[in-house]
Order: sequence, then C-alpha cells, then structure tokens
Amino acid sequence: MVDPSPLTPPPPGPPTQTPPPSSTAPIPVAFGPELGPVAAPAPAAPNVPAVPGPGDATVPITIDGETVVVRRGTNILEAIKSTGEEICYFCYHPGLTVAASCRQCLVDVEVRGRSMGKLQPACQIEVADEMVVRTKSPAVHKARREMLEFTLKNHPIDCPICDKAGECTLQRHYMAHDHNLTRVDVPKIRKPKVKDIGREIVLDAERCILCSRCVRFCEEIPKTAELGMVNRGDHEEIDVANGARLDNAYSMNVIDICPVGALTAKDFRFAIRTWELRETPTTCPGCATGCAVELHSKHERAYRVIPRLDPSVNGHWMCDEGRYTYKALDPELRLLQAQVSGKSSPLATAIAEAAAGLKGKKVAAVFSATATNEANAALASLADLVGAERYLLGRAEGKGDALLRDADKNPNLRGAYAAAGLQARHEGELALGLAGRAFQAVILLDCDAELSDVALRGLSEIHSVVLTDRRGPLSDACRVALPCASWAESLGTVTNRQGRLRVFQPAWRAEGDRQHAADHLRALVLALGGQDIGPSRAQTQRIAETHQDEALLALLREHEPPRPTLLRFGNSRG
Amino acid sequence: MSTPNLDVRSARQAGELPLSPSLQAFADEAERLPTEELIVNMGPSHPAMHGTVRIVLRIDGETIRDADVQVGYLHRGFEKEAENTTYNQIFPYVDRLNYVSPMLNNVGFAMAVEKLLGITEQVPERAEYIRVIVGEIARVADHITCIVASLAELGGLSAFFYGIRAREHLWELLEDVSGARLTHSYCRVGGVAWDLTADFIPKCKSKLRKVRGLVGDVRKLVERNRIFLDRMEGVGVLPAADAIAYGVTGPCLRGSGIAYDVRKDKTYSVYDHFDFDVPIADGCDNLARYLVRVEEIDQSFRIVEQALVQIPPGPVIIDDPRYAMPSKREVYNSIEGMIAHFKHIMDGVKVPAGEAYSFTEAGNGELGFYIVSDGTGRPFKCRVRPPSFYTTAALRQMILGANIADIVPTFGSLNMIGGECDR
Repeated sequence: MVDPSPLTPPPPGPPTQTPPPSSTAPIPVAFGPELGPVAAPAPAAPNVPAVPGPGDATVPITIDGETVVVRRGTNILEAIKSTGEEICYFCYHPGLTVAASCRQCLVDVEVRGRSMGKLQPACQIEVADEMVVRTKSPAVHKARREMLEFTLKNHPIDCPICDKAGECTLQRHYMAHDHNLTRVDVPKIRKPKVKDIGREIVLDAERCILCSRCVRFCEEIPKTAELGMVNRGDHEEIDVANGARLDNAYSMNVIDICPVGALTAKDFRFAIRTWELRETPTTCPGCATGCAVELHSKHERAYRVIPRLDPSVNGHWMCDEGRYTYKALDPELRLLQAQVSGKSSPLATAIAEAAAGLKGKKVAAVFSATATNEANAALASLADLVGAERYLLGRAEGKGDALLRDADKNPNLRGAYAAAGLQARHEGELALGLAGRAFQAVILLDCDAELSDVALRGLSEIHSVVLTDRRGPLSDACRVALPCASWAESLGTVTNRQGRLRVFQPAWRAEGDRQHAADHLRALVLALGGQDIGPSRAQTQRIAETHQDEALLALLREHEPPRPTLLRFGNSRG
Repeated sequence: MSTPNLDVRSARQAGELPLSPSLQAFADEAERLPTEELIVNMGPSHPAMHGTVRIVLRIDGETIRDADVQVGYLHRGFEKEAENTTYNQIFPYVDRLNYVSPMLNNVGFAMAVEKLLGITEQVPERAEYIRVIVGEIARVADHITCIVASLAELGGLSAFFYGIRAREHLWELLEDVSGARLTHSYCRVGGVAWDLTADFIPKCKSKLRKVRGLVGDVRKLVERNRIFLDRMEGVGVLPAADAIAYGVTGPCLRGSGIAYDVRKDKTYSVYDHFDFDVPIADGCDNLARYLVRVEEIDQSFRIVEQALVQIPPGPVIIDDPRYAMPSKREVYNSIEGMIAHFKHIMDGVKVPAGEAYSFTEAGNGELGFYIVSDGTGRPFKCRVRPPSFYTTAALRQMILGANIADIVPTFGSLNMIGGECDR
C-alpha cells in the first residue's frame, strides 16, 4: 500500500506522448492487435468543393458580376454556394454523383463570351476559364419558378402531418423562389402513402419529388442499390424491388438527404415537431469511428442523432446503429442520485463513504473504453494514489465494415489505453480476481459491458465504487454508485480509431448530483488526501492544448457551453 | 385652424371665498405651528397613480418641495419579447402598449414593418382607410378615457359614467371589426386582418351620433363647474419651451400651444385626404390639455365621417404570399398556400436586413417604432418611442411647488399609460 507522502511525485496527468496527437503520425506498435489498423477515412465525396485548399489549381469565374476564385474541377453550383448566395436545388448532394434531374439549379452560363444557349444545370457544369454565370436574370427566375410549380403540382398537402415540415427543402425553396399561389386545380396523382420498405424506413410515395438522391445513395455509398425508380411520367415513384427491403447498415441516411418527407424514420415518425428541437454538435459514442453528429433534443430528452459533415472522419454519413445511441439518454434509464448500499444518499456522504473504503486497501481500478479521456485520466491519478491494480474493460466486439462501422464498439479505446497504460483485459480476468478475493476494494468507470454474475457477486461482497450514468445490475451490485453526467450532458473528449480527438458537447445541463465522472474522481482524490487534479474542464483544456484542437480551445474559451441552436432558427437544412 | 373656446371664468379668478370663523381660527393656528419636511410615497399602489407609478414626495405641509417620479412597475419586456417573435406575432404585444387605444399601436407597428419591407406604397388603399377609421375611433376612446378617468379622480363620478358609456359604444364598434373589445390585434403587415363588417358604416354613423351627445353631456357637467375649474386652471403648468425640451408630444404639447401633429406635419397613410384641424390651447395647464382633447375628439369624428364617405372598395391586405398569409381556401386546398401559411407561422415575414424608424400620431403623441432587421422573420431589435414616457418625465417640473392634491389632475391630464411608458 502506498501512503501518499509529500515526497511522492504528483500523479501523472493524461499521458501526452501517446497516443499520437494527429492521425498523420504513425500508430505505435505497442497498441496491440485489438486496436486494429487505422481504418480508411470517410467515403470520398465525388464532388470537388469550391473553396480551394493550399496547392489546388484555381480558376476565376464571374458570378452575377462578381469575380470569385474557385478550385478547378468544382461545379458551378458549389461555386455559387461558396459566395454565400442561396441556390435552389433538390437533387444535387455534395456527397453523391450528379443527376441533374430536378432542373432547379438552372443558370445562364457564358463561356469565352459565348452563351451556352439554353439554361444549364449549375450542378453539372464544371467551372472553366472565362466563365460568366448569371443566377438572377429573368429567364433564370422564370425557369426556377416554373420548375417549382411542376414539382408542387402533385405534392400532397401534408405539411401539418409531415415529419419533415420545418426543415423541408421544398418549403424553403417555395418561399424563397416561387411564392406564387397555385394556378391549376386538377386532382393530384395518388400513390402509396405508408409503405414499409425497410427495417427503419417508411416511404410516402406521394411526397416524393423524384430527386433520386436516395437511389444514388444506395448505389454509391453502401453499394447495395435496393432502391429504384418505377413507372413513368407523373406516375413515376421510388420503390424497392419485389421482395427486397431497404435494410443496409446505412439506410437511414436516405432520410436525412431526402429533401421532403417521403422517407421517414420509424423511430422518429410523429415523435416531435422538428422546430421544437435544439441541435448540439457532438460525437457519436457508438463505436471507435467517432462520427461527427448532431444530437437533437428538447428539454432533457433526446429525439434523434443525425450525421454532421466531417470530411476527415465520416463525410456526410453515419450508420444506423449509431443513430440509436441516444436511447441510453432516456431519463428512465439513468442513475440520477448517488446510492450507498442501494439507497439514495447525499452526494457528499457517498463520496466520503467511497473514499473511506478505498483508503489503505488493496484496490483494483477499472478503466473504461467508453468513458472520456478526462475520466480515465482522473482515474489514473486515483489509481496511482492508492496503488491500484489496473484493468481496462470495454463493450464487446460487434459488426464492422470497411465504410464507417468499426467492430470495436468503444468510442475511446485508444484514449483509455493511453490513460490506463495497458491493453484491454477480458471481463473474466476481473471476475477471477474478484472471485479469488485478490483485492479488498474496486473502483470502476462504467463501460456499458454486461458483467458476469460472478463479477457482480464479487463486487457486492467487497467495497466497490462505480461511476455510472445508468441504473442497472452494476449500480445495484456496487456498494457506492456515483451518478455521472451522460455524453449529452458534459463536455468531454474521446480518441477515435484514427487517433483524432472527438468532442462530446453538452446538449443540456446536468442537474443535481450528476457530474462529470472526472469531477467525482477529483472529489475522491481530495477525500483520500491526494493533490487536487483540477476540474474536468481544466483537463479538457490540457488535452485540447496537447492536440492543438483549435475548435475545442475556442469552445473552452466560452464562459459557458453555447446554448444549442433551436432548429427553427437554423433554418438552413436540406 | 380653429382654436377651442378658452373664455372660461373660474371661481378662483372671481375672488377667494371667505372661510367660516372656526375654520379661519384653525388656519391661523396652523400658521403658527412649527413644521418640518416629510418624505411621502405616493403610489405605486395608489388609485390616482394607476398602480404603475410611484412618486416619492418631499413635502412641507401640503406643498411639494421635491418629487422623484419612478416608472417601471409595469415593465413587460416588450422590446426583448419582440426579438423572439415573428413580425405578425408582435401585434398582440403592441396591443398592450397603450392599452387604451390599441388600434393606433397596431397601425404604428404595421407601418414600421412596411417601411422596412419597402411595401408602404403597395398597401391597399381600403386597408389604409380602415386603419384611419379604426385608429381615429381608438383615439376618441383614448381621449374620453383620459378625460373622464381624470374627472372621476377629482370626484366627478357622474361624468365618468357618461364617458364610459360613450367609450362602450366605440368599443362595440371595434369589437364588431376585430372580435375583441380591447386587444384587437387587427392590423397585419401589409394591411388589416379582414374587412369591415357589412353593416359597419351605418352602425358607425349612429354610434358617432350617440358618442357626440355623451361627450357634450360630459362637457356640460364639468366645464362650468367651479371645483373642476379650480383644480384644472393654472395647475400643472408646462411652458412650451420646457415641453419641447422634454420631448413631449401629442395633446400635452398642443396644450402648451405648439401645433405639432404627426398626421399634419409628417402626414402618413391617407391623412392628407381629409380636412381636419390641429387644435391648440396656450394655457399650458391641465385645463388647456383637457380642452385640446375635447376638441380633438371632434376633429377625429370629422376624419371618420369623411373616411366613411371616401373609403374605396378593394382588398384589405397586400396580395403577395411573401408578406400576407394566403386565404384559408388556398391553405386547405393547395400545397402552395399550405407552405406559405406554414412558413408564415413558423418563420414569419422575411424582412430584408436594415433598419427603419417609423412614427405615427398615437393617442398620447408621437409613437415611434425603431426596428432593426437581420434578414430573418423576427426583429433583431425593436425599440418603442412611447409618447407617455416623455410626458411622465415632465411631471416632476409640473408639480413642484404645487399641493399634493394637484398631482391628481396633473398626472391625470398627462394620460400616462403604464403599458407603453414602461413597455
């Protein structure tokens, strides 16, 4: 047993040498086989962005009388977008190939002083030297307006019952570019209204505007091509082939890219109106990929997770599995108050009780591959202080693929490894140690792994402290359970499979006893007579500085975490 | 321009009344007694302070040596509220600015937004006429309320009942038009919510006749009443120069002899189509303000009568789905109407980035709206220039050296309305 004396060097902070701060550095061999190789980065987008990077060839073009310098190889639509002007389009998507089927982005193009004749779809024309583009001429306005009129002709009057209402591209473009009342009064073409086409998705063929984004997505990203267009003319509709189902692992992306409410998620259908939601930019905690996502929430309840563009990690997409990570945030499943011997207790009492049982005992510290870098670093300080034996646990391996899903379902195996200084160990090892009475006390960071009955019984028989955000067998088995803030309630970082720092941002404030696990551990270290390791925020600051993560540093400069934006004010979705 | 009849003789000018011997003895005794100054709170929970103003008085006997007029007891955060509200959703909030004449606030705010949108010229003429008619009716209601409430505070309760009966007629008219007696929310960006009722014009004419009679009754009740004249004449004096320095507008400024009326001097809407006068009185006192209001009631009637004759047929709101909600028929039967309706409710009228100050003649004077837009459907900033804030600022000067009892008619003659003063 190590008695902390003034001569003992302070516990090490989060190791700053390993892992490498940026993904470009090589991965140290010491990582072991279970970490796997660095997976391929995000799926390459077929369209070249307009803003030139260093070293890119550029070309100056004139848009509405103003000269802009854009990257060579980009299309006119991207060039117009880069000027900050809003351009009307449905079928184009920067992550998909160009279909030019909606005819909404028609512009007047002149090359080397010669007009191209007819109006051209901006998405399909590559920028060229001496190109002059006009987006505001009367002919362009007329074309845009008439195309919208056609699109709206058979669109059902569904806004009040449509899940997309409020973030619908069709609504937005109508108000921005058409805003004329209907000129015809003919019956609309009826199509299937509620068609179950997949595990996650319901199709409303009437609302579909036939942009074919979803068809191209299935062909190009998961390369499964379940969807297709059937019939012709105004009877044309999206459908799956007979007997086929839209069941690929990335199917729900078609819901996000659908410009209208034709494809809706079974999970989100009629759950809430979109304009009541607030969006928080954060990270998916579902696997080692760490996709950039937005968490949509109202008050203290999350409603969905949708992908956020991050070219270096996930591009425009995310997997279906990751979208359900928000389910664990259900207040019904959470541990909201500190527990001592299964009974609710004031936080201070629980901390004192936990510290008393750890002092002078033979302790095991269980690191977690699902917890943040901050929590694992704080646990490392505690483990040093009490001379604990270290374990590192994580979720069981799941399904992975070459696209985004990683078989390693832990968001932070690399970070936890670096903090704990050892490789992941099997849950059985801990169970064996517990069964053999190898230690007198255990402190665990909850890792979402299902512990065996042997381990749970072992935990209930000795002094055990768990830091967790959920109620369950683990919190019941342990003598002291400290309620932690969930990934939607605290600012924290994890290190993904590429070695990149991924950031969790709070969508709402953690109330009551719920605190960042690192803050609970700090209180425990202080109660055990150790040196103050600082609040979790200070540790995040240290990590951000080590990784030179400018975005995170900017976030930390704010006095309070920014209030999530109400989707209604974002108003730029689609 | 006609000036109201100022040839009124008061009992005070005719000579003081002698006191009875016992009272005289009491007064002589009081003269000899030592006195000291006293701090007294008047309001905010005081009926004459309308529950919304507190005056900390330093008094010497009955004489006011100093006064600290404090506002803010009815602060609603209107300007902040407006930042989170679409432009058309703000109308119910402006109803509650000067809640005695909400129609005028409606008109003022609608005009400010229209100025920012640059659609002032496209507002249908019928809508402008309707705005003038309902606005002038509201002005009459405002003046009547001010006059008779002030009289009630002076003890003239009969006059109050006559006046409130007159106001009731006017409110019935406005209720017919808007569906609400007080919080009308009748204007919209680009026009008004809906047309006048079919029988509005004959009904309005008969109501105006009744109101004229009742206002005449009120005048007969008080204008030759000695108590009334004693308490109004020469009390609450606000010289013209001071009124201008304080930024006082409306009847209070015109009661100080300055003929400034936004309807005439910076004419807006269709006010240039009517023949009406701007009455002034140069007494600078409570009586002058009373007389100006009484005369303005008549002038408003003139405007309404002319407007009822001139009003053209046609639409009552601008015909453009970007600014006006589509008809319910369009909303329920076409996707275009549905989307437009949806976007109007959720996002509001998109106002181009910029700023505008627009001002109108409201019941108490110049009501200004200063709106800054960042291009969204909600104002980035919305500031109100409430006329009664400036008149209330002048109150201290008007009551210095007067008796405590003089506060009541003076404050009453300013027609301070907490809803707009504090916002």
